Amino acid sequence: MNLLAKYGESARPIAGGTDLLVKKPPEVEYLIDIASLPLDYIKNDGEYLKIGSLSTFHSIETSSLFKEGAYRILAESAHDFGQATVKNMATIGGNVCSAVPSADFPPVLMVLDAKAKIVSLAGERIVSMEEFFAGVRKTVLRSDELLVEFQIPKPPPHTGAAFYKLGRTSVDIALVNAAARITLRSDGVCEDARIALGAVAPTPIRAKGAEKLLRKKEIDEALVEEASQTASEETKPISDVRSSAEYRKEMSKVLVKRVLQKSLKRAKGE
Amino acid sequence: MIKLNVNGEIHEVRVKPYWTLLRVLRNELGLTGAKLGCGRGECGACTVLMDGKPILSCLTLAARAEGKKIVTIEGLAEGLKLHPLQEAFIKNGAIQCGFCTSGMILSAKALLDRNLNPTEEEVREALSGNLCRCTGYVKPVKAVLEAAEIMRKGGSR
Amino acid sequence: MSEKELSVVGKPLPKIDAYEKAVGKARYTVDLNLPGMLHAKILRSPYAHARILKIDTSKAERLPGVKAVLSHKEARIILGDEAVLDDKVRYVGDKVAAVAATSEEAAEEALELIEVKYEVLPAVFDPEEAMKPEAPIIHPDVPLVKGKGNLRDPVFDYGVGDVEKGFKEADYVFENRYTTQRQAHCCLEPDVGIASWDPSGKLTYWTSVQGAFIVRGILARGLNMPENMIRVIVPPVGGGFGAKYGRLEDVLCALLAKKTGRPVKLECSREEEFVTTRVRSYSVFWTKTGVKKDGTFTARYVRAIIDMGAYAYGIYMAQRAGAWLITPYSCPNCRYEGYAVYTNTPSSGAFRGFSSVPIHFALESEINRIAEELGIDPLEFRMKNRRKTGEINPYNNVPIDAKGFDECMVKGAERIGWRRKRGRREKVEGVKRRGVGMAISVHFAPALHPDMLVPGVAEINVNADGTIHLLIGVTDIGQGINTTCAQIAAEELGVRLEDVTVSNIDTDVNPWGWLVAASSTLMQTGGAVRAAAAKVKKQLFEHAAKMLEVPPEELEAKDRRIYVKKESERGIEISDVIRQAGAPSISPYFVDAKAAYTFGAKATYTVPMYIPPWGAQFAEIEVDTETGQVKVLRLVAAHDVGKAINVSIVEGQIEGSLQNSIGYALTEELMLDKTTGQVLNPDFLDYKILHTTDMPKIDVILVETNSPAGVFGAKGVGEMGHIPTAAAIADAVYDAVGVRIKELPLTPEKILKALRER
Repeated sequence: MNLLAKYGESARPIAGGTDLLVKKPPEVEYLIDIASLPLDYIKNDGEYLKIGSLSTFHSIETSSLFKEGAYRILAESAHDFGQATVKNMATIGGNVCSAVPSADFPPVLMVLDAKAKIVSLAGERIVSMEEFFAGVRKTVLRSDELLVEFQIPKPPPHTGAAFYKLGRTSVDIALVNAAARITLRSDGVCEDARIALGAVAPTPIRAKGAEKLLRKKEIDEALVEEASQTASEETKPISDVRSSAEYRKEMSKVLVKRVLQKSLKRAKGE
Repeated sequence: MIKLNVNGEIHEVRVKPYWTLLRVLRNELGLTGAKLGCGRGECGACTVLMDGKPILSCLTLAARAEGKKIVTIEGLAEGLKLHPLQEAFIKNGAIQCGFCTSGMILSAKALLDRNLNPTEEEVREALSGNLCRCTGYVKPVKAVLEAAEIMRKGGSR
Repeated sequence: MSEKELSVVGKPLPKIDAYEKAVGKARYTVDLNLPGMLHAKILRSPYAHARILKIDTSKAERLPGVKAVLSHKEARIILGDEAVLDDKVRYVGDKVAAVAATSEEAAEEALELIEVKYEVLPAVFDPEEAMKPEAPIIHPDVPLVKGKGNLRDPVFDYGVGDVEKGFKEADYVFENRYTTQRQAHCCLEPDVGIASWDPSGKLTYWTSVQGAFIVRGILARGLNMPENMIRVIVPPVGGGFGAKYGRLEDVLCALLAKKTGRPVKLECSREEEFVTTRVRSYSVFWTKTGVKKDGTFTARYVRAIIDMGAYAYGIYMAQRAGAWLITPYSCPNCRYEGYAVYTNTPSSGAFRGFSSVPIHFALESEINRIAEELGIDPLEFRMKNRRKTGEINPYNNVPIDAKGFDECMVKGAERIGWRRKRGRREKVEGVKRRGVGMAISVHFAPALHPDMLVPGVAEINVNADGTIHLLIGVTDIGQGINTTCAQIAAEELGVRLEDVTVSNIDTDVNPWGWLVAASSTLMQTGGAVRAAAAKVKKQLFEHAAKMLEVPPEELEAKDRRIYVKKESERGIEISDVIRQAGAPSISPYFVDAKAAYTFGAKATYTVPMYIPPWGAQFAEIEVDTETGQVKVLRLVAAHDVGKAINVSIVEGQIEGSLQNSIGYALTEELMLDKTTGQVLNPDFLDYKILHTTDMPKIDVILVETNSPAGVFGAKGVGEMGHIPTAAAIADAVYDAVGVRIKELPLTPEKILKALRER
């Protein structure tokens, strides 16, 4: 922490290095190796699931804590992340702090209502995922702060979640990714719905307009269709070498539809 | 100055802080089995094992490797006795130009070290970070499955 | 030739160089270092078309560690239409200057200190735009067609009959336009060379190439030196695929080494590879086809517009692609027009399947379309129209050998389940649809162009102890030619594969060899190996005949033994024959000189006739109609290989081709910025080649027709797998969802667009 405070903007913490050592931002003169900090853990204390920020994609993909329930989407998105080698090196903290719009974990963390625990010499603070991202490759982290843990509250009963990543080949950066979480009441009506999308705006976004359509309603195919359409209208994708803005907008709708359908199935216990 | 444990041998090397493990292996230790294919972690030709896990040495700073057990392709055979994966690759025609071979074999070894009975899908996923332009991956995947079978039957390591 | 049962040829023996690669000890050019070696880097142009008004290298030269800097002032050496370093740049990435320094970091830093003043010129990026009279002229000093902008003179125009007459006779005339994209080779080992001069003025150049003697020629012309003062050595090569047949960077490397008096290594970064390797060209095909109601062709016309990019390495494509219009199908009136056009984009050049791959996509797709419009099954259409054995092929006026054509189609169709699956528009899981598609291919083989006959050469040395050493002129780039030739030698001589060693190429030592290209290597060099081995066998038999007291014609050789054919127990070990022919010295200190020089031979061999390598591929795919994504479920590749000298190697060639050709069909495209011409995706992240988890189930069917022109009946298999795939997949997309995409690659966006417009 002293080093981070001392070097400010010219220093960056480095863990896996799979983004930092490729991108090589010119203002970074110092790399502070945090890989041996005791932040590689996944534990469930009953109330919260706590994931240390140095947990690798591989450990998240294979953790026994993510085999069932809404937490499955953590393992599923870790699985879809990329190739085996990168999964051993890249960390959830790195993925989130890189703040690339196409990062895979942020939408998942958003729908799971995750919060980030951030520490510095001044103390610690808790920041929700919605408030964490400030723009393309920009977060609210100050240069003397370190993200150490993600805290995910226990989901209510009858909750199902799903994640979908669209890439050009089986190993790819997301052209669009989407996550959803649906909680049903015992009478089958939707108590709560969350939808998050990545790679379709400068930051990962919650499709709040679509969520509103679903809450307190019985979700049928027509409503899923309407919500997906609304969600896609909430996106602001760009065209780049990977995809056109039009395709991303169209696929937002398709992906949201798919994750809603799957979340619903899972919430019903199917 | 750092101490690296590579293939069971300790090396003392003077490195610059920004040197990657790949560079140190190739230029300082003369272990050219790991290759530079892209320098961005996208092709897997630089794959080595660090504490048993396959990692990309072109994206690993050399200093990070201190205190860890590094295994490169040169450390797989025991003298003239090849690892079953190496034998299976040779026997099955899984090596054409050979540039991706060391990375592939090490990725496969990491898989077999934790799972001696992988499905074909699991083998493909384990090799998903190793790009090959020569083989279409057909014979490498076959070789890994064959090596697994031999190792299950007690054909060592 | 003997009729004995083959004991080495035909066996899937492990490659002789596999061991060193499996243990990580094979040293590729990138792995080599020489004492005192410097590292070179090249400054590349940020502009697509510009004049260099001023270039100041003084600051770079003063940087500590920098030993030499070159610009056009020292190195404006022109070979063909390209200069080693020019005062003009013609594509984003074109060479501007070169630095040699004691470290890579110093060299890179030096590049940034080179000051260049450019006069930016208007650029053109599309070949059809580049043919307009007002287009900026990229090469004013080469022969261009008047009034047609950057269209290189001559336009290639050939065929048979009269297509206009043929169109009048047709019941239906179909027209279409197809385009194919730029594809990058993606060799895992990048381009690299190490140049070192010795005090006598001789240059040694280690490099990763497919043609050592070709590179020697380039260096000789570029440096204005005699060829015997240049030695090119080729260590194991990490992939070629047509990318590596010599470039002017080789001359540049040598010049830096000369100037500094130290060895210089020039290694391309992956980004440089994507930007500067000569791509498979962007191509446009305008097709016009006349048919009768029953599907018979009356006329076929193609205008091929080949984008050569900044330099004319790809002109061969424009010249020869018409072979694939004319050769495979019977049609009395054919006309091919090939346009070779310069644009300010990365040059195009050779790429596995060179003149065949793009045009096959266009022509086979059009056949699939026409068949469907006439209500004829695409397989039936082809069986009906394909050339029959004995028909004169108007392309080279030689009777064609169509053996294997039908078998490939029939076997492939059966394996994929063509009759069962075609036309069903199978619905799977809601929004997914499945379909099957097909295409055929034919490709180059030696003797297709009588004006391009290149012999193979081989030298067999027999040592006093009976071991064999083989010297050939062609490079093993991973395709296994060293192993295959050793197998041929072993078979012919009657020894085992492990008795034969093969050298890598050193132009001071090996006999002259051509490029590894055009599916010719085995045919030419393998033939020479067999011929040389046959000469040695004759020498051995002459001696053995005396020892066994039978005429030499009654002898056979197999498994290290020469025996009497009719009494196989009567025989003698080959090593004994050699020993007996020798005269061991009284002192055990000396090698038996007589035995050492008695046996051995050199031979050249020219393939006598063109025997086409036929092929057919069938793809089964699944389309997600909501995302437009295509998943290839299964690819059946039936190819006529003549005779598989080594089944494992032959299968590997086809399997490897498919990783490339499926990517060509679906995911690979080198993309350029429309306003600047810059490559937008010079990395594996965004230039998508297939991973293990993208590959479909692959079914390779080897059809063996025993070619009369090939060594042991073999045909060249290096490229065949590349050719029909894209059209087969495009046809399968049609079968699944009813749309035909005419522009490669078949991206999800194009498929969705086509579905919407249907």
